[in-house]
Amino acid sequence: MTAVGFYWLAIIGYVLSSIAYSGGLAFSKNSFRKAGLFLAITGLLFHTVSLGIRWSLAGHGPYISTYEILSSNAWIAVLFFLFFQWKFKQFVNLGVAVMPLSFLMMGFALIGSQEARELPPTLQSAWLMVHILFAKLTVASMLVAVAMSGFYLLKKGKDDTKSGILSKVPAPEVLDDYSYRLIAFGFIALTIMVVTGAIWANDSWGSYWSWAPTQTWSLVVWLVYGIFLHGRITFKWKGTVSSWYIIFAFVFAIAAFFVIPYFVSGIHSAYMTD
Amino acid sequence: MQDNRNVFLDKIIKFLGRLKLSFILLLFLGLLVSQRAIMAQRAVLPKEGTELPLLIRILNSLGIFSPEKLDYLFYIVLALFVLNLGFAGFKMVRRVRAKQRIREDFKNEESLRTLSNNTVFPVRQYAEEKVAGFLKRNGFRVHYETVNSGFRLRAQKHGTGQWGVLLFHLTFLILLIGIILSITTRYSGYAEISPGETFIEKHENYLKKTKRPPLFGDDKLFKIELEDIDLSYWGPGVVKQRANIVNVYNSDGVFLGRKRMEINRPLKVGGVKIYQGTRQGFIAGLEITDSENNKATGTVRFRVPEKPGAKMLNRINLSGTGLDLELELFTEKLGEIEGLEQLGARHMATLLKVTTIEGHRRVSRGVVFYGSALSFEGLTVKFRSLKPYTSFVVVRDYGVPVIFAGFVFLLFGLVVTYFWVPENYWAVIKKSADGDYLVLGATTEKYKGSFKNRFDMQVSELKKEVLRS
Repeated sequence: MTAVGFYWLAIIGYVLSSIAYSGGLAFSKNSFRKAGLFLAITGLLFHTVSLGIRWSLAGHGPYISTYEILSSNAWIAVLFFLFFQWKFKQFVNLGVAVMPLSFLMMGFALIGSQEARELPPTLQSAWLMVHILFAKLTVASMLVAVAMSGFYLLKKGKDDTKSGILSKVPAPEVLDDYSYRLIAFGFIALTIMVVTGAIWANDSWGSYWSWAPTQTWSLVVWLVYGIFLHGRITFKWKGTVSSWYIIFAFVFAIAAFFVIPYFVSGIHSAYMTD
Repeated sequence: MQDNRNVFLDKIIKFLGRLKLSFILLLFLGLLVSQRAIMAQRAVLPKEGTELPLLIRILNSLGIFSPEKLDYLFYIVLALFVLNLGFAGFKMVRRVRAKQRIREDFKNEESLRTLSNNTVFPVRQYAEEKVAGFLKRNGFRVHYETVNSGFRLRAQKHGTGQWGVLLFHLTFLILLIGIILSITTRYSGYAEISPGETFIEKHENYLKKTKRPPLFGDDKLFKIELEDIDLSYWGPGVVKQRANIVNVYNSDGVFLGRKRMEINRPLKVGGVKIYQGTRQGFIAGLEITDSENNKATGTVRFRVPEKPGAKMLNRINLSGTGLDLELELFTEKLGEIEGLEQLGARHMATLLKVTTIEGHRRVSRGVVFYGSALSFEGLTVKFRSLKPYTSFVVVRDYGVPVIFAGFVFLLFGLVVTYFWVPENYWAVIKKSADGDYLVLGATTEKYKGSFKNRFDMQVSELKKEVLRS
């Protein structure tokens, strides 16, 4: 079977997993949640095989072209979610948001060209993989933090004992706490991404910082999240202020990682738009 | 007088070390970097056939036109920020030590009951060892004593985590030292070379170079002899690898080895890095003679096509004639490059296609083969030589290792700050008429919402071992 065949099997797995997680949340049935978990793992296995075949055929990792980038984004989102679910069981219902987002991303990836492209010499570096991996982890953790902040704002002040979908979500202070942890993790991942990018740039052309648009916007995102972490300590930001800030900060992350590289030419854009 | 001065200095130190000040400075820094980001994106044009989206247009409209004037403000804010970090560091040491003293004290029942996480429950006789053992098994360092008032215990986990913020802040000082070193020692030069030629590292030998830096800007005088150019393509316009095979000699002429430099793998010679350049192509030697037999010789560079279907073109101006010569190079040597074999059909011989440009008037003048000449309008263009060339960039920057070391400390500080969070437990076991009872309390530095859940879980685990039924 080809990479595309396994890719479709992964999509089917994720779609079914989304349905099962939604059922688990709507009907409060653990059996649905277990099915959701099983289908997500199965989908992830197919997805891994698909990416592996693609990797061996193309001779490089899935980070060139929209198809590869979105596919690997979905892969890391599911992996991150499964790890998170394994570590913090109370967040199992996040599958309702993560799994549909993943298969939609994979569907969107199919719009782009699926042709495997060769790596130019600048991208033939071990730093590339580390740089990209941490970029993906940054976005994944910040995205989950945004989801938690959204749930916090919806749940805040509501009576926890009442039935309804929100009653299945952890208590507001726990959501606030974990969104803070995720931002801290994302900030570290973002720092590693910026640092490895600088080391790689220094290896490639002898300059670790060139104030290129995507590079500078990454620094802006770093400062925006740095201000958040500082505000949590200095001004004891939490709850509503913290949640709104996390949502606001994510706009900068989206602009830096997904908007600027698509529309402003540079090393980060050359291989992303096909 | 002396006292007044000390009070004043103390106030300054307190003000400069305030966390609120660092927050404001961080905010300013964010705005100034955003401004730089906007200016950087303004400098590059959108891709062909695309229109900038609304978000980018709005951002661009926010960018002011003289960012260089903001440089001063940027450096002032940066300097204040570093100053603030230094003073904040001093304050942090004092605060961490004060907190440490509190943690290392045993607590009595009353103060335990005021902690946000506390519980009281009856325990069996001789539960002291079990409580201590339970906390040890959970990764805590436990200290306990028995005094007249009863049994007292204190336990700590991830104690070193309290130094994380300080470490994280101090790394900015390392980064600053690295940046200062980088600014004062950075020097780079660009050179082009053909096989068989030797480049001597000297300021005047570079085609393009930066100014000599204030520190360590002396000529290194090592020699690089180009043996071969190893250029390969995946296909026309898609580069596979650019490499130079070179023989390296030190300033005394001692042979240091035959080396290969390629993209992402720079050479290191005497503390200086030599990077493979991205320009490769051919240098054509021309001789042009006018009707009065005045001769001029020169060279014209042609880059190997970087896009599919691109031509090897260059243009020269013939001063005094008002004419421009547009030259297109064809050479069978192009088809000999790995990955460009299919271009051999278009490049079967070495020749130059000559076009004159006068204002908007373009006139094709024919072709001139290698070794021959072409005459038109009293001019004779002779194609004398053709040789390949490659490029490299020499960079020295002694701040780089310090900056990267700073980054490592920065990451370490962040991990310790956010994921090695100190947790403290205190316990007291008292005797009453009904039997022994335990008062347990705990605090943490961060993530207090989820810590409460963890505390409750630990309490229920502990109860299984020591609860009196």
